[in-house]
Amino acid sequence: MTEYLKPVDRESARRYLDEHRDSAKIVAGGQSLSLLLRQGLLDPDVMIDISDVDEFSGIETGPDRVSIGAVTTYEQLESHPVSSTVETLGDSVDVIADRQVRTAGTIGGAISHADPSLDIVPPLLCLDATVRIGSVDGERTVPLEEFHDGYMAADLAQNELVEGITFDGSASDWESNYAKHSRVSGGWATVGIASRVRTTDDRDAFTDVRIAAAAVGDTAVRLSSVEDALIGEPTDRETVADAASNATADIDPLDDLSGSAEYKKHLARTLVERSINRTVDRTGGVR
Amino acid sequence: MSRLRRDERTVQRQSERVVGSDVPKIDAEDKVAGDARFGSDLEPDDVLYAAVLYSTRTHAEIDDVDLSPAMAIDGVECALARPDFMGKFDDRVRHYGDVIAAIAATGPETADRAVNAIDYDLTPLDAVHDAREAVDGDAPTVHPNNLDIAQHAQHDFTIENENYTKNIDDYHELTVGDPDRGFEEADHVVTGEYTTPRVSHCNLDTHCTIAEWDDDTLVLTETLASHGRSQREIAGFLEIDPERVKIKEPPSASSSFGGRSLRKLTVEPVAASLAREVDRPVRLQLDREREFVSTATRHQTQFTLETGITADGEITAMSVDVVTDTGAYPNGVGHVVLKNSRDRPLDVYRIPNYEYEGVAAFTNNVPGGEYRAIGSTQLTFALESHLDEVAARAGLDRITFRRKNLVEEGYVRPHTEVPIGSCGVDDCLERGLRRFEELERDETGDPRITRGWGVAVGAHPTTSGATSEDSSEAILTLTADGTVTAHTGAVDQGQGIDTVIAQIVGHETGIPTSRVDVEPFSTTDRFADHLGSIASRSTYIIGAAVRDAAIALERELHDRAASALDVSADAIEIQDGVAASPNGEGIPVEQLLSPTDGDELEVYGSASSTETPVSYGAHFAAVEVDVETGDVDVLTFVASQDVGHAINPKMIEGQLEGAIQHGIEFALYSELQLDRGMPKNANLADYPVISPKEMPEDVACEIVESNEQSGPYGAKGVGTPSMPPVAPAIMNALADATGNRFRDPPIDSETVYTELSSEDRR
Ligand SMILES: Cc1cc2nc3c(=O)[nH]c(=O)nc-3n(C[C@H](O)[C@H](O)[C@H](O)COP(=O)(O)OP(=O)(O)OC[C@H]3O[C@@H](n4cnc5c(N)ncnc54)[C@H](O)[C@@H]3O)c2cc1C
Repeated sequence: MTEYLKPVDRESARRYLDEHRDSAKIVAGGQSLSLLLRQGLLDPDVMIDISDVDEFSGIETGPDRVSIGAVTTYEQLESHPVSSTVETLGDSVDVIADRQVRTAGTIGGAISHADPSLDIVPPLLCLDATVRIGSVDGERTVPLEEFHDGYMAADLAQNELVEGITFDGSASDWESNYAKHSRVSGGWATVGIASRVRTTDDRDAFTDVRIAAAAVGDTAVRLSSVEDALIGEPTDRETVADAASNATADIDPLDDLSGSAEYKKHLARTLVERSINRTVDRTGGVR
Repeated sequence: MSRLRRDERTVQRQSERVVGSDVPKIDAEDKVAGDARFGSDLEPDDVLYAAVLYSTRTHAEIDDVDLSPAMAIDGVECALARPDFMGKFDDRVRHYGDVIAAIAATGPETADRAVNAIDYDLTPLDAVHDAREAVDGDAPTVHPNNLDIAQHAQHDFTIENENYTKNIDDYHELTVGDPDRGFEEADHVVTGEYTTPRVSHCNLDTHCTIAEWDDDTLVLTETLASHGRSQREIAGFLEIDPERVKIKEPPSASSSFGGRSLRKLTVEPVAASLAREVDRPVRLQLDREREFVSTATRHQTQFTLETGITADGEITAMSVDVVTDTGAYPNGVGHVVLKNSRDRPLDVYRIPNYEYEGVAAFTNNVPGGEYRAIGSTQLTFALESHLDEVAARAGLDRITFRRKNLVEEGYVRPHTEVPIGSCGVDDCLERGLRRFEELERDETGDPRITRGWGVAVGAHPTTSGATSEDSSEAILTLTADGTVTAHTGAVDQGQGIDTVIAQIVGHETGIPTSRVDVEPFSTTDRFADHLGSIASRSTYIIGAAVRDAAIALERELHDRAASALDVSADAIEIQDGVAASPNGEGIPVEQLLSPTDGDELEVYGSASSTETPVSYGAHFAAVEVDVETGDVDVLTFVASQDVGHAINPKMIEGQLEGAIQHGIEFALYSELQLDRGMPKNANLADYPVISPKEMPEDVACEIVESNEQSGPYGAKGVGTPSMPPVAPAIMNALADATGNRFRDPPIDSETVYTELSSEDRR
C-alpha cells in the first residue's frame, strides 16, 4: 500500500520529504507521474502531494524579479500577464498538450521531470532562470541550465524539492518567441526553439541574443554558437539565416519515433531562423 | 424530394416534415452531459474482474504455465492457462498481445497483481511478418495444427498461382473480357505499386465485456454491432450452439468504426472461459496498449495496379493485384478486403477488360479486422492515386479523364448482371468541383509554401452483400403514456440511427419524434436481424423495416380513430400525436388503446432487399506544404456525396466530416508501426491521432440525392461510402503540390521534406 500525504504548508512538505526520502515521490499535477506509475516504472511507498501548498503556488512579479511557484499550473501561467510581456513563455504554454494537461500540469513538475522535450524549459533557459530548491536545511538556488544535468536527471538530493523558479522579467526592451514542430498539434516537440533578443535603439543590430532548444539531446540546451554569431551583427534575414546554420553545433539529437536525427538537425536550423525572425519582427524593426 | 415552403408546411401533417429535416440527435444531450452509460461504466455487484497475461512474443509455444503463485493471492477466484480455456484455443501464441493465461479476481488491482505473479515458459517459434513472404512455401506456418481456426468461414477457391502455397486465409480472382488484348489496344500503359497502413480505430472507450453464464447460455453485455455474426462466431469458437450465446447492448453503445463489429478472440472467449469456471459474471476490459495490439487494425495491404488507356483517355484494360495481411487469426474480414478491392474499380469505372488476383495471408502480426469501408478504403487510395498517374502520363485533365470512364445509372457492370440503380457520381463531381472552386484561396506569395489540389472518386455498397438477400424486422409498441417504443436490430454507435428511427416513426405516424424511445438491441428480442449496424445498412434495411412497422401503426391508428370519431379512415390526420377528423374533432393516440390488447398496441414490420446499392462520392482537397519542414496542411476539403436521400442532412454532414478526419489520419498521420510484429507506438503519446486542429479550415459537404428505389425514402448508405475518397483526394493534392507521388501512406513531414530535398530532385 502506498501512503498518500498531502501537506498544506512548505514546512510540512519539507519535513515529510526528509522523513521518507527516496521511498517517496512528489506529486504535483500528476501528468507525467501517473504515466510512470501506470507503466509500472515507479512504485513508491509514499506519495507527497504538494499541490495544496500555498507557498508553492502562484506568480509574483516584483520590480526586477518574476517568481513562479512550483505548483503553478500551465493554465495559471497562460492567463497571467507575464505570458504576454514575456512572449516566449506565452507562446510555449500555448502549444503544450491540451487544456486538460495544462490545467493540471505544473511548472515545477515539468522542471523536476527534466524531460528534454518539455516546451517550457527553452523559454526559461533564455530567461536565465534559477531554480529554487528547498529542504529541511533551507533553500538553495541553482541556474536552470545547471539543474538539468543529464537525460531526465535533475540536481536534487533525496530530501530536496523544487519550490519555484525565478528570473529577471523586468527589462521591457527584450522580445522573444517560441517555435515548435510536432507531429500533431499539442503533441510532443520534434524540436522546439526559444529565442529572446535585444537590439540597438534603431533595431538594426543585435545587442543580446539567447537561443535555446528542446528535444535535441539529453537536456534542453542554449545554442551559444548561434548566439555568438549574432551578437553585434545586423538583424537582416541573411545574417539570421547564416547564424541559424550553426544550430547543429550545440545539439545531439537521436533517431526516434518523432523523427530521425538528421531531420531534427534540419528542423533546428529552420526553427532557429524562424524563431529569431519572428522575434526581430516583434521588435518592430524595419529590415 | 421537393422541400415544402413554410406556409405549405403548416397545412401538411406534422409528420411530413420529419424525414429530410435536421432533427437533433436524440442521444446528444445525455452524451455531452456525461449521463450516458457505456459498456465500461457497468460494474454489476457480484462481478469479478479479469486480467490477462499477454504474449510479448509474436510466435511461440506455451510450454508451461504455473498459476499457483497467482492463485495464492487473496481475492483471486480463478486462474486459467490458455490450453484450458473453452473452445478452440490451443497451446500457441501467434502475435504480440495474444493471450497466455487469465485471472478473475474480486478487484482489478488484485487481478493485475495476480497476472504479474504467473510463472510461464514459452518456446519461441520462427515467425513471419510480411504477407508476401507468408504465402511462400518456405515461410513458417502460422496455423499448422489448428485447421479449425485457419479454415474459418472460407469460401471455396482453388489457387493456380504457384507462389501462393502457404498461410492462405483467402483468395479471389476474376477475369473480365480479354485483358491481354485490352492492354495491347492501349496507347499508354501505366503500372504502380501502393501500400496502405495498419490503422487503429482508436475508439475512446476501450473494449469491455461482461460475460455471464445462465445455465448453459452465455450472456455478453457489450457493444457488438453485428449480433448475428458475433453470436455464430463466438459459439463456433467456443464450440457451443449459437442459440446459447446472447448479446445485450449496454444503455449507450460505444463507438466502433468497425472496431466493435465482431468478437475478438482476446476478449469474449477469454471472459466466457473465466465466467464458466467461477460461475459468476466476469468483466474484462482492455487498456490502451491492448486496444492497439490485442484487437484488430485495418488490414495492411499491398497493391500493384496496371492500367491501359487510349490516347483520348478511354480505359481499355486494368489489372489489380492485392496482397493483404490477415494477421494471426482469421475473422472472415480478409475475404471482405479482397472482394471489395476486386469489385470497386468495376463499380466506379467502365473497364471492358479486367483481371484481378488477391490473396489474404496469415502472419504473426496483430490481426486485421473491420474498419470503415473495409478494403474499399485501401483500394480506392491505390486506384485513385494510380489514375492520377495514368492521366498525367497521357497528358489528360484529371477530371475529364475520370468523367470519360465513369459508370452511370443503368450501366451493367461486367461482373454482375444487375444494372446500376441510383448513381449520383457525375453530379457529385460537378457539384463538388463548383463548391471547391468557390472556396479557392489567393496565393500566399510565400516561397516556402507550395500548394496543390486533388480529386478522388470512390464508392462503397450499402449492406454487406454477404448473403443474396438482406432483411430486418422491427417491432413498435404504443403505450398508454403516448410513447412509441421501437425494438430494432440497430446499434447506435454515434452514427445517429436511433434518431433516424425516431424520425421515420414520427414521419409515418404523426407522433412527435420526442415521444419515440429506441431500445438498445438485445439478441433476446423476438425478431431477427442477422447483421446489425454494420456495412451502412442500418438506415437502408433496418430503417425500411421500421418504416414498414410505422405504416402499419399509422393504419391501425387511423382505423381506430375513424370508428371513435365516426368518420372514414382516409379522413383522419394524425398530428402531434392527436388523431383528428376534418371537422376538427381530435383524440390523442394513446386514448385509442383498448384494454383488450393490454393498453398497448404492438405492430411488426419487416423489410428485405436483394440489392446492394452503391453510394458514390467525389471529394476535393487543397493542401499546403511547408517546403522547409515538410509539413502538410489540408486547407480545404469538399466531400460531395451521393446519399440517395438525406433523411437527416445535419447528421450526414457529421458522417462526412468524420470520414474526412479518418481519411486525413490514413493519408498523413496514423499507423500502428510493427517491427517484426513488435509494436513501436502502441500508445496515444506515440501513435498520432488528429484533433480539430488538423481538420481543414474550410470543410464543405455537398449532399447529392440520387433517389435509390430500393431504399426507404430513396436513401442508401453514407457512413462507410464517405470514407474511401478522402485519403486519395489528399494524396493527389500532395502530389500536385510537390510534384512527387507518395505511394505509401501515412506520409509524415519528414518523408515529405526528405523527398523534396533529395539530391535527384535538385
Ligand atoms: C497527454 C500529455 C501530453 C503532453 N504534451 C506535452 C507537450 O506537448 N509539451 C510539454 O512540454 N509537455 C507535455 N506533457 C508533459 C507535461 O508538461 C508534464 O506532464 C507536466 O508539466 C508535469 O507536471 P506535473 O505537475 O503534472 O508533474 P508530476 O507528474 O506531478 O511530476 C512529474 C515528476 O516530477 C516530480 N516532481 C513534481 N513536482 C516536483 C517538485 N516540486 N519537486 C521535485 N520533484 C517534483 C514528480 O515526483 C515526478 O517524478 C504532456 C503530458 C501529457 C500527459
